[in-house]
Amino acid sequence: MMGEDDVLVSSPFFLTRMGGPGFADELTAFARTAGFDRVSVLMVIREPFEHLAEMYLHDIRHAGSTQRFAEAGAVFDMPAQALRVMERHPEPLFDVRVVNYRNVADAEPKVIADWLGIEGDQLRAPKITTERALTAAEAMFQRALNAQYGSSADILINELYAATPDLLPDPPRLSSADAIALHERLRPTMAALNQQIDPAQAYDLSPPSPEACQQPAPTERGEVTVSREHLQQIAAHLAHKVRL
Amino acid sequence: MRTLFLHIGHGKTGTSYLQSCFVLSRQTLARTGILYPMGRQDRQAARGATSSGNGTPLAKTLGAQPQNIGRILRPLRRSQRNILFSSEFLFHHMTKDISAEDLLRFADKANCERISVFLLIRDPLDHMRSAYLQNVQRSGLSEHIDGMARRFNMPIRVYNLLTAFDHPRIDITVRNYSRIKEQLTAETEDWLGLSPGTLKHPHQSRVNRSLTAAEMEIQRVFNKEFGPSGRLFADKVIDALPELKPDYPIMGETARQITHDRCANAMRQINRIIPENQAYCFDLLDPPPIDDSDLVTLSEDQVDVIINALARHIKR
Repeated sequence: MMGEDDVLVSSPFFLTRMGGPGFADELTAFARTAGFDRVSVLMVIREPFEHLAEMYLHDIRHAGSTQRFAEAGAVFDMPAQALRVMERHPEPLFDVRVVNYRNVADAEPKVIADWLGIEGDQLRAPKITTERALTAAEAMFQRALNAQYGSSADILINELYAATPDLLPDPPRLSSADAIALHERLRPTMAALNQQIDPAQAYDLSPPSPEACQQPAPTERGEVTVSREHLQQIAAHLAHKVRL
Repeated sequence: MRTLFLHIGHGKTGTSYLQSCFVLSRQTLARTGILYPMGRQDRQAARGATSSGNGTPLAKTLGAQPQNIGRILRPLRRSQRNILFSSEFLFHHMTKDISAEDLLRFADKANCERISVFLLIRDPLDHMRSAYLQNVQRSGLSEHIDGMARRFNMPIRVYNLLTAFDHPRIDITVRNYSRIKEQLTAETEDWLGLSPGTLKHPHQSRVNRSLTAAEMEIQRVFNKEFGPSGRLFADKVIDALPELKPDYPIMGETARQITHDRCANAMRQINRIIPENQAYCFDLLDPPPIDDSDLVTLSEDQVDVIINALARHIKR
């Protein structure tokens, strides 16, 4: 049995588990057995379009994803998961605090300290090293490699990242029709969640701006525009892995 | 009067296509009184594939091994027909080590009183762009087209040939491929004195497409890494995606001007002695495309072809 200390656990997998059926019962049973009379949850939500883009590129690099961006958009349901976390973990045992990533991106230690009820300077933040995102061309090549080898960032992307850390990424964009469809699908869920949280942390419910969509609309074949230099870099890194 | 017909190219003027027509029309040609001697690559030519034509041994022998000319003459002496040879190597050697006298001596031994040469030329920019893409695809070229342009001297070689073979017994017909590519067989039939429609066309009338800008960049990188490696990628992507629209490589303004300055005098001289409608166009002076963009477009299908082509060679 544990002592009198509070316990802090952290994992992105909690979101999926807590949004699923049965986990609240397991967590309740665990908390009571371990002698906790309160479970405080900090859940960070993120505006869906930027979240989708980042998750999409992350999964291509780290999880062997072969999806097209439109396919990823068609199944994106993070706001629904967040809402289920709220609904399935009611007071008084659970206290779910929701913050929007736009409000914490530059002040994460302060937000976390505030949630934990400690002084801000008691949390030491690591030196942040942010890697650039995949370019559209890199994503296209890596997806094709993933289709051939499974998760295979070691063949191309990892070395390309090391060699070209300062490339400006070009975030993936949905077509105007797909973006509107995604917004329409997510809007009711986001609105429902907004009603349960601090308005300062609420989802932005305005429809996607035309600038946020791909112009012209992506073709069936999925084409990217890439600089000659960047294409040469990609081809050269691939060639270095080839033994004829 | 027996005639020795020589179709001599030069390169990038539909030579392989015409050689396919000659092979497929051998019997018809024979009936009209023209012998098209057998060549080593007749089968390829019949399929419409690239071949070097039946005139390559003649070109190489006349230029460097005249003592071996008997082997080429023997089958010709058994026939009374006119004789047709075709090879780009004839142009190459006629601007290098075959003289008019060499040619006339051979014609005499083959009992031909007259020599009729068919020379196809091409406007320089049009020629260079096509040759560049072919060299990237087939010959391992990795440099920019501007580098190749620095060595381009085809009009000068054409002028030298026209001067060196200016002889009463040698009749040279010059046609500009940039003008007549759609009537290539008709012009050839006219040169040979054949009725229109005599020459048979190969089934595969569509020539393989050239590379897109993105494919060209990738193949150049592979050429730099592996040497000639068109089979690794370029051939496969052209096979897999034949409908893609190729891009012309863009030549820089300086390279255009330098090349123009080098070739302009020869082009002017040639234009004075060939039919006006076949004259060289000074296309190097055309304004370059305004959108000299650094960006190229690449599709998922092209990327799939690259990865599939490399897959069995990638070592992790």
